[in-house]
Amino acid sequence: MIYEKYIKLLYVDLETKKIRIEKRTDLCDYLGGVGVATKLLEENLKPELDVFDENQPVIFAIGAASTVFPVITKTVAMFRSPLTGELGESYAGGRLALTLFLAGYDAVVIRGKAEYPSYLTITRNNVEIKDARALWGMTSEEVGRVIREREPGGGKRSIIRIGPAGENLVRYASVCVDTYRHFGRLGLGAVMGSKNLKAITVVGDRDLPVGNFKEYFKVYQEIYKRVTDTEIMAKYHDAGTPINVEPLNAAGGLPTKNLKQSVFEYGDNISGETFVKKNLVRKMACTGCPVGCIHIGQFRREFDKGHDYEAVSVGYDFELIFALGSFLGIKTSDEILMMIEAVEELGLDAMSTGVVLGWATEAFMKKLVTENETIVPLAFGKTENYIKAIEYIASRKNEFYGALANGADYASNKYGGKDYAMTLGKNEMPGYHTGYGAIIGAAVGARHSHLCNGGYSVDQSMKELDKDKLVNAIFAEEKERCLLNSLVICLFARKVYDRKTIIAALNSIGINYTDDELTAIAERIYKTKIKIKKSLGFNQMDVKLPKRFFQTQSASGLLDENTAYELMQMYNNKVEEMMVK
Amino acid sequence: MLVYLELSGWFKRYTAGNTRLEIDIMPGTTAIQAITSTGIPESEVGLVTVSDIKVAHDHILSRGEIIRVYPIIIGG
Repeated sequence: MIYEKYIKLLYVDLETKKIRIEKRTDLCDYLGGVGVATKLLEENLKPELDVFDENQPVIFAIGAASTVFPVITKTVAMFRSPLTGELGESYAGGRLALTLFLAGYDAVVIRGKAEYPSYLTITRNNVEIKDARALWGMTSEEVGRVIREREPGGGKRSIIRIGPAGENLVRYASVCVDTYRHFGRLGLGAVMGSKNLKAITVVGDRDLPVGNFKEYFKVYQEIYKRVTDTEIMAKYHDAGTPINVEPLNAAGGLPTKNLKQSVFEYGDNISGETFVKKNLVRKMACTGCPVGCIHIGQFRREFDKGHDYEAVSVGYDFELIFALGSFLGIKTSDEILMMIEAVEELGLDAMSTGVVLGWATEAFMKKLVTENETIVPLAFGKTENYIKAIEYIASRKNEFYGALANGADYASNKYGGKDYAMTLGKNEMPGYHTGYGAIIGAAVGARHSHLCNGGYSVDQSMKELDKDKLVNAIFAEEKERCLLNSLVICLFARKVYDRKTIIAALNSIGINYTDDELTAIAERIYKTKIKIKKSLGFNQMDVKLPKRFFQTQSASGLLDENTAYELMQMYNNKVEEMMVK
Repeated sequence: MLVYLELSGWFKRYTAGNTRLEIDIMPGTTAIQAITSTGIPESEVGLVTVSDIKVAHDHILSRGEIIRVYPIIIGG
């Protein structure tokens, strides 16, 4: 808690409807954000119980300087992932961090299962569990609209909600945050669904005077200048991450058609530049961010045959273009936006959905499944059928779509085709086939995401494979991101928030740490994550890398399977060394 | 000697809107030297290809080569 020596927690039990507030000084050892959330997950997790057991916790946390400095805009959610069965960690921007900060809470711990569909409202002086039976079954957009009309606090309010996919326990269901942001990956939406929790609103209206305004403003201005003046941040604003489509495709690193290819013949049609020319209608920012990287694209859709058209706006970025575009052979930007809109409304993680459908398409082509299972013929490039398939996944239409709703790893265990079920640690792959760094980074990452350690970035900077250098770079980045995420800084600004800047920012608001102390905090957080993973039965060397990774050329050439496992072993050795230190 | 630069659209901001440039270079000039001579910052340069083949930034250029330049990959 800013200007205080404690972390303020809000505990909500949906079953007993008991609310409790605690002030914990011991949690300051974890700084905030992912540090505090990881410790709280360790304390509240029930490893012996099912992922959907009502006693499993969900934790939301912000950091010590959330929204006080530019681009520190995110909230972290920690939970046990129903997709992987292990550590669940997800980040979202929007207004949530600001509203939690101004409501006066550093973290919220939710457990129990509501008796009937409910939504939670959190304000500075009040917490209520309200009836959401009328909202159950609504899409993310619909439930947002109803709650906006029903609850006060517009402008200082955040609304997070699940769609039908979360209600139906699709194991990679996401949570929509303030319409255009999401807690994606790893199935937080399903965990909320398992708790009968349709939505959470947070209203923050506290006024907080700045302690040492002169010092704070000086540091703020320095950071603001770097954020708004540097080319790297300009790129996020002007083109956004879709700028990656072109270089990845040229380098042979763009996963295409379930990674049967790493170059997409229609790459130019779905490049960032094409989206800007054809679809971009506006840019938005999370509260507290001067960059504005959220790109909103628009497509036209006919209401019905012979009727007028509506213009539909959805957010897009690189990972969505990869997963619902090149990975499925979708050839135009309009069609990709239609696909994004489908997953958005139903509340699915876009990346997992695309990768799951990539496997399903190939399984259908290879006759592991027939149209009896798929209902519609799945084929790369066929948008209309994919949109139907997305609806079937969200509703668990039949046994096959029920399997797809459990992820590509589960579906391939049931139907075969494991060699091309593109998962890493049971999480569907990200959009980079750049080399060993991308594969190993996600395989060893605490939550099996490219965001754990940016392995693709290591590939980009490495002229030729140097095993020690690669493993050390990934390990160092994984640890450093524990620190960045304990402050819940948007990782786009990670180069702005170097150690010197972090120390200056914290000092200016009365939080004094040395460089060594911050390093110790980062390691403490990482160790706690590993302890949690081990308690859930995770063994790094059990992770199997699909053979397809080694059959399709990457941007670094054809990769060797044995080398990849050797790198994973090297990384695991480093983790084990850290754990006994 | 002359070489030809073909730039990804992002780099137009450094080259007065041009995406194809003709550059007169000295023998022994590397790809990155040729690219940065146009005003493009080195920190912005990602993949470089010559005749559609990926090359290192310190690749020594030959007369008439066509160099394609892409921005670095960004993300979280």
